[in-house]
Amino acid sequence: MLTRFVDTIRQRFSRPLQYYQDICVRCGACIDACHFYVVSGDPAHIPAYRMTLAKKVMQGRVSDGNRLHNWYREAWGQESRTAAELERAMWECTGCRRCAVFCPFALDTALLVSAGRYSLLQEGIGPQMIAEIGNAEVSKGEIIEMIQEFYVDQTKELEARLQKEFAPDLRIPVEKEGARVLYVPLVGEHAIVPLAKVFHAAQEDWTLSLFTATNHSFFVGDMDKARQAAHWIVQEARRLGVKAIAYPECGHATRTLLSFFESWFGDEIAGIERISVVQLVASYLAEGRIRVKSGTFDVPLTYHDPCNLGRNSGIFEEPRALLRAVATDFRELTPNRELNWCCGGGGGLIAAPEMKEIRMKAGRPKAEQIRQTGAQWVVTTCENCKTQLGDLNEHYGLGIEIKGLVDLVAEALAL
Amino acid sequence: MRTVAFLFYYITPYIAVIVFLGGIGYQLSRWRQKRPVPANLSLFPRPQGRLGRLMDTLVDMFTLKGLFRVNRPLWVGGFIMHLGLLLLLLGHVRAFTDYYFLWDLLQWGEEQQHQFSAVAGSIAGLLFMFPLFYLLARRFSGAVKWLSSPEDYLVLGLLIAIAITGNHMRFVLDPDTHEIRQFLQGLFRFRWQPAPVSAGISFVYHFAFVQLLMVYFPFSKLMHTIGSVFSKMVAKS
Amino acid sequence: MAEITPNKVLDARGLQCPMPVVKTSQEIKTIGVGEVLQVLATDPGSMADITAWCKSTGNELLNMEKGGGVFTFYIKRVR
Repeated sequence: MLTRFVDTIRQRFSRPLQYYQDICVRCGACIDACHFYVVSGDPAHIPAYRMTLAKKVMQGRVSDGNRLHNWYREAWGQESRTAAELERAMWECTGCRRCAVFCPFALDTALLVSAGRYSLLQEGIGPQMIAEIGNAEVSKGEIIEMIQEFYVDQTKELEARLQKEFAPDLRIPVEKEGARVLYVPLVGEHAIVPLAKVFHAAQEDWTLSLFTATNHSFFVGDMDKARQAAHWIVQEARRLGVKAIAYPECGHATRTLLSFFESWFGDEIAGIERISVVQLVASYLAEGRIRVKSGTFDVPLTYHDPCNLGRNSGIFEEPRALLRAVATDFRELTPNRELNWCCGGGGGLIAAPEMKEIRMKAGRPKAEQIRQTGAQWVVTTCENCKTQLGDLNEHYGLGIEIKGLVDLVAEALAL
Repeated sequence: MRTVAFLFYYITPYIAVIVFLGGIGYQLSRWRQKRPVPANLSLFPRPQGRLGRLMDTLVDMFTLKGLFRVNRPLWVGGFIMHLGLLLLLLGHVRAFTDYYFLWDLLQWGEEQQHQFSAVAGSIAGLLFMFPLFYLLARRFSGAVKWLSSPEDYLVLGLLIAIAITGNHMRFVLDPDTHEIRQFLQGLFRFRWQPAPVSAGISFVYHFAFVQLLMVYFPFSKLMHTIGSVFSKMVAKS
Repeated sequence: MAEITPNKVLDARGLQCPMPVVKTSQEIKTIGVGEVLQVLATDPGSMADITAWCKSTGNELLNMEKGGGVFTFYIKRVR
């Protein structure tokens, strides 16, 4: 049992994973860091336990029958209990890396989970759906010409509508060569409309990507496919000769852009700036390229730091600057920034229907945090978080509304 | 019996040192053989620049400030134990050489040196030992119990044994430190001196456990001494 | 082109990413091999998603049409 898991994960063990596994002292500082463990009390959810479990399974069964040796290595190797535990340890994790902040050695359990998920999928263990969506993202580049005409038509319709509703000279450029910024959206016009307005106000020279930023292969630790899916966007950026790639309000995609593109694409990406729209819009405001009507929103609101924008990408202050500019009653969650609780929906779990129940459980610390602020709106900058927070709102009866940050800025624009 | 004693005092110490250094070298090369960091694994906020990263890592190492922020009781135990250990290591350096510049600076004679090291050594011994009992007790409680491996008990057991035998010599036997220094310097310089007798059986156990620890060190989680520098640097890169 | 008669209809209009694909993937498993699923979607992005999903899973995209701001896909379950 689990031999394919063991073979695969051994192959994929990178240098940091090796020393993580060797040096974890199991001090337990991570116990209180994990929202899964806090609500479940299941040892398989303790970050250090996830690490040790993988280590024991990778060592395999002790065959020498030496009892002392068996005791020392805890040769509970590869039994069915272990497989079930391993599944929980690797899939019931949002990769939020809060535990790495708690760890005195900054050990990154999410890196292990990434390799572990990929290796478990080789055994057929885990939600196949996430991998399936990832595969579709890889295929997208091959079908894009087929749908390009439809796509351009559709954005023209959207453009015409926004010209009527917002500004007669607003443009949604597609395939515009030499534009400064390539904006890569998400599926759905909600990820295009507010940006089109802000770009218009800032007089940005931009063009809309034919692709979307999401990268589900990243969630299942399939880094080859994750790279392939992202490569379509890099090729598009180079073909159009843009100066910058801007990613939408999407956590994992932002992390791939800011932390993985360089090692994935090297020279191919050199000279092309990589930026989150949250940073971009904040820079417009700071540089005076856009103006907002201050105090547009007077409802009590709070900001949820998405793990992948916050502690994993360092985007802490930009969203706060934007919120303070448009809202009068901004309240911090406690804790916040790098110690913020994960919403419980990250790591691709949103895309796996069978994970809904555990998602709702794991979101409890978040729900309680929100309740304590008394905020009516929760603003955030990640699509995953938005969906999860919406589900939490329903599940825990929070009576809140979930808002996108750029949406608020677009609504508060002073033209 | 005399052969065993001879091996124990004059042969196995060298083997222990060789395994200790060789083992560390082996583990480092094992780490090196793996594929390097596959991406930027930064955790934010992070310090600026290479020097900033190094300084921040060093401050982390000597203060455990991250732990201070998130788990105060564990920080107290961990910090005091490591502080005691550091002081003890500094003290044991005197078995081989001495802090001549320091004594010159303070203009301390041999009597003062002796008194100082007796007081400082006693304090360090206690600072090291008591947190170890706390850390061991923790292993049997709550969620830490789920987490604990035989390795964890083994390491704590070894360290506690070393601490107890060391403190027994320091507080109960009050042995002739000259005699012990002579013996250890002899080992160090390959000019063997008679094994110390004034510290009795406690010295034998202390010396044995230290040798065991040195052999075990490279193949245990004690490698965090070195590995944590890498992992912290990666998280700040 | 002959009229296609779907065996099942999935209304994915207004769903957020990545739900149109998730629902399509779930629904296709409820029809038999050789049967046809009709999917309605509104977003230009989901058009690429569903087309790409068909390609990567090997299901056959029989036809795709647009009208009144709605995209209609006809997907034949192959496996």
